[in-house]
Amino acid sequence: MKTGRRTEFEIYWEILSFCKSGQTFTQIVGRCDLNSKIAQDYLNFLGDKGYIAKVNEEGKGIYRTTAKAGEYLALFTKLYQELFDNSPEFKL
Amino acid sequence: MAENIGTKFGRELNSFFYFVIINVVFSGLAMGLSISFAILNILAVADGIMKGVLFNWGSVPLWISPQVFLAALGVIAAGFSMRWLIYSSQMLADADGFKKEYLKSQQLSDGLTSLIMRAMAYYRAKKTTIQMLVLVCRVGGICFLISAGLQILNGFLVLSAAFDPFLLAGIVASVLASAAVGVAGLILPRYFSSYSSTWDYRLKEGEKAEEELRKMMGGSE
Repeated sequence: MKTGRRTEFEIYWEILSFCKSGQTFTQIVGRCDLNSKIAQDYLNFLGDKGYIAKVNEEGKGIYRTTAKAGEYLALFTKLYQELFDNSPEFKL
Repeated sequence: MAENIGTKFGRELNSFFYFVIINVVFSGLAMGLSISFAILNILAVADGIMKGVLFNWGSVPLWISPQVFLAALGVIAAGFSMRWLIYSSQMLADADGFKKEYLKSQQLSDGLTSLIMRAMAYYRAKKTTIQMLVLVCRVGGICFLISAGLQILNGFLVLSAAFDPFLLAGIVASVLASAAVGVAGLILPRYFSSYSSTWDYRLKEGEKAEEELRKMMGGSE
């Protein structure tokens, strides 16, 4: 399914959520539908914030979401679920 | 709360899915009808021209013949119906994708948030298409209502010259089909507007949410 037009915060959330289980750069690029350069920029930013860490596992560079990112993931989930819950519903 | 939101998302997704199916059905009908009108009336005009009837129709010039209008309307309506069908089919594929994602999301911890986020991203990307669909539906609907009116006029002219009950039945069926598609073309945009206003509200609320996230990120730009 196409990803549509996401905001930077939505892309951060998508990367952090996906990397909870540890992912390679290629997997992140594929799953989050980003080009390599943009994906690297996002990963650098999240790394600088301490939300994601790159570790070597079995000779591969794996990106893993840190515990610190929990605050961002929790706030994002709360805000998005609330905005959906508090909005009118489309009905036929 | 998560279960309620999930149920609400599922209900809304179903409404959207069935709404898009209705659009595909009516746009398909509209395209079929408009192409058949165009061809039948182009043939009638061509036949008239070959027999010299339309050129020598007393003092009445060719351009006010109902068949000429019907043929032109048929071609215009076919163009709009095709756009309507293409947009609707694309949206049906997207709605189907969302339904599959929704089923999968129930087994994932972040599944629902991911779906809400994707639905918002989808609406941002499709907003212009939806606005275009509203316009295309309305123009198509108006074309079909005018076509129904012209068919009544044409039927009256033809039947007053020589009454034929089978022809009358055919004209009535054709007028009813055109009127039904015309009315659908005017009613369906209301639902598109309702869908748009729902998601516009969410996008607006999403901007407020973004501000909070920006504060947490300490300004990411």
